[in-house]
Amino acid sequence: MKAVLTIAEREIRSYFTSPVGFVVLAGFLLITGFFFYVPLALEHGTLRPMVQNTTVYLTFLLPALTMRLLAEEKKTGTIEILMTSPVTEAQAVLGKFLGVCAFYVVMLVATLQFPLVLSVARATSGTPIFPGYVGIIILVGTLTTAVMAAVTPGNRPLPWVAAGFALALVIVTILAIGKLPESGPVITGYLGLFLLGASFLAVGLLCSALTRNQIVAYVVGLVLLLGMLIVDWMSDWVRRSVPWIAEVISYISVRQHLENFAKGVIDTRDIFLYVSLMVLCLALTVRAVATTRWK
Amino acid sequence: MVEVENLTKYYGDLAAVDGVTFAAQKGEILGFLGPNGAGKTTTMRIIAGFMPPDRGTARVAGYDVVEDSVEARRHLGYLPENVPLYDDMTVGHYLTFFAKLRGVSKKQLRACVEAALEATDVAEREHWLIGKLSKGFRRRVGIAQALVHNPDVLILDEPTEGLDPIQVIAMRDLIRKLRGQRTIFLSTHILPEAQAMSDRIVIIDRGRVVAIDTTHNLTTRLQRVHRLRVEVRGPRTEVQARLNALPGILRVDSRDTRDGATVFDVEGSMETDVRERISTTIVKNGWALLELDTREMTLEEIFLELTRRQRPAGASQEVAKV
Ligand SMILES: Nc1ncnc2c1ncn2[C@@H]1O[C@H](COP(=O)(O)OP(=O)(O)OP(=O)(O)O)[C@@H](O)[C@H]1O
Ligand SMILES: [Mg+2]
Repeated sequence: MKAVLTIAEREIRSYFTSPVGFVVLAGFLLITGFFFYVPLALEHGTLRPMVQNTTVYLTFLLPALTMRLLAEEKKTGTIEILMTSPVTEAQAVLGKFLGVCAFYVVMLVATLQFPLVLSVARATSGTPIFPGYVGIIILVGTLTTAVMAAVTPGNRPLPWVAAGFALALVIVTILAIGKLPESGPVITGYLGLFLLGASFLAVGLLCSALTRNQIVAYVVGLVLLLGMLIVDWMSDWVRRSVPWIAEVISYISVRQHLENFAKGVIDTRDIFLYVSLMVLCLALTVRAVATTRWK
Repeated sequence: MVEVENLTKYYGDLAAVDGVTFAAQKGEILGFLGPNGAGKTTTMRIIAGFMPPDRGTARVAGYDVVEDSVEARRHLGYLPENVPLYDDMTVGHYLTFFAKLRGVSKKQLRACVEAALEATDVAEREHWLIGKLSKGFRRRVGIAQALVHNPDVLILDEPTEGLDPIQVIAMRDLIRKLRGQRTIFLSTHILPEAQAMSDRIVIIDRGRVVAIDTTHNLTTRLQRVHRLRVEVRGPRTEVQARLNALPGILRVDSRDTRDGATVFDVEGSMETDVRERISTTIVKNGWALLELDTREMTLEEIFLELTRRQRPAGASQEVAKV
């Protein structure tokens, strides 16, 4: 377990010191922001449009996070030092997966501003205004100190400050979400987003294990995830003619399962789909690492 | 500490390593010498647990590198040939990462990293990004990485490759300093390098071991003749006749140089030192002795010599028939 966490920690740190991490984070905030604020301005404030559209752009963004994880190690040969250290393939793969998942959590945390803003917007309808503003300030503080702690490691107080901010943020967010008429769907929506993203990351990690070229890893990951989306769109199309195929597709469709989460429904079948996709991809990744290394 | 038995590895049809057997004792520096493509890197990768052999076994500190892979890897530090490091990390973080990964306890972490920085003389670069280091420093960080967890066995693939002469000397000193209780297995394709650094040498060619012996034995065993290069300004045939007539001289070849002098390639017997006789003869005759130099055997000559000896009687005729 220690080896897994050590590898995960290195990966998180490298997302904060390389441009890829920031580009993906910024792109993510930009797009989620768009899908949040536009509906907010047009109609009633809710998170549902944001959560639902996320599947599409996570398809494009997340393979960019995973593409380097193993492909780069193979290309530069650093995998030779990594895998001649006393770690198993499973530990290495799991460490990398946890690392990129943790960065994805940071991305999701950065979108917590939306429910906060929502609670500010609700202020007009009698809800106290301050949790939203306080929350936004704390959120900015958290992200700034977290980034500073990541890029200037060894600076001992910073991680504690960041952790303190984060804790305060969680408390304020809980308070703020409590004020929302729709707090259930927000929480389950985030849970769904996390599971969906993590399974996308697992697909991306597998692609990264299959090649030593990062671009190839990105494109293959993108094509696989897009394929999943297209199959999903096709289910509407075949529903009229062959309903049972539509049934099967909707059972394995990552997007339709997210919809349940966005509605505020937690179904074990939804969780099961994401977890099994993750486990399958990670297991295949472990195999791939073992065989490419042993060639 | 390191035991290799009948190790074989194929790439397609090519046997990159073909039945290699040797062992390194505790505290020994074992050199691994061979020309390009001999199979040195492949052998070292197998011992380091990076890939399994097709046949044969390798053991590190008593653990089989395939059966007990993780345990074997716990006991070794490995510097791959191209020194692949994480360029986006600082030296200090890099070493800390691998120390942690290899099970150094939290308490000893800092001490281990500092010891590795000291040993390889990179302490002043601790906060540098690895991507910005020069080649020599990179290699030193690579070695620091290999020894940060204090392993019993160090496997260094061409530790002096690409270094300037001063750094080569520093690297030799470093490797000698690192010895202690450790077993060091290092590869090179430069003979003097292997001689300078190791206690014993394994010579490998086209995947097969051609000789294993102490450095001293290898050179004396192989060097049946004393090779000299003598440059003289004087009448070529006469000088050659005089040199040929000297006791202890086996053979003399000559060729003219561009500036009018003559180079004589002399083979003398190992029993007597013929250098003094040669120089006095030349000087007494009033010729000018421009240079007198002992020629080391080159790697190619050693291989020729070894393969010639290893071939059983009659084998050369077989080759001729083909
Ligand atoms: N991944 C590979 N795929 C196919 N053939 C390989 C591979 N790696 C090495 N070889 C071949 O195996 C043989 C041994 O290679 P190896 O790298 O072990 O030699 P070496 O002794 O380390 O040479 P050098 O001094 O050039 O580093 C060579 O003929 C090489 O071409
Ligand atoms: Mg090599």
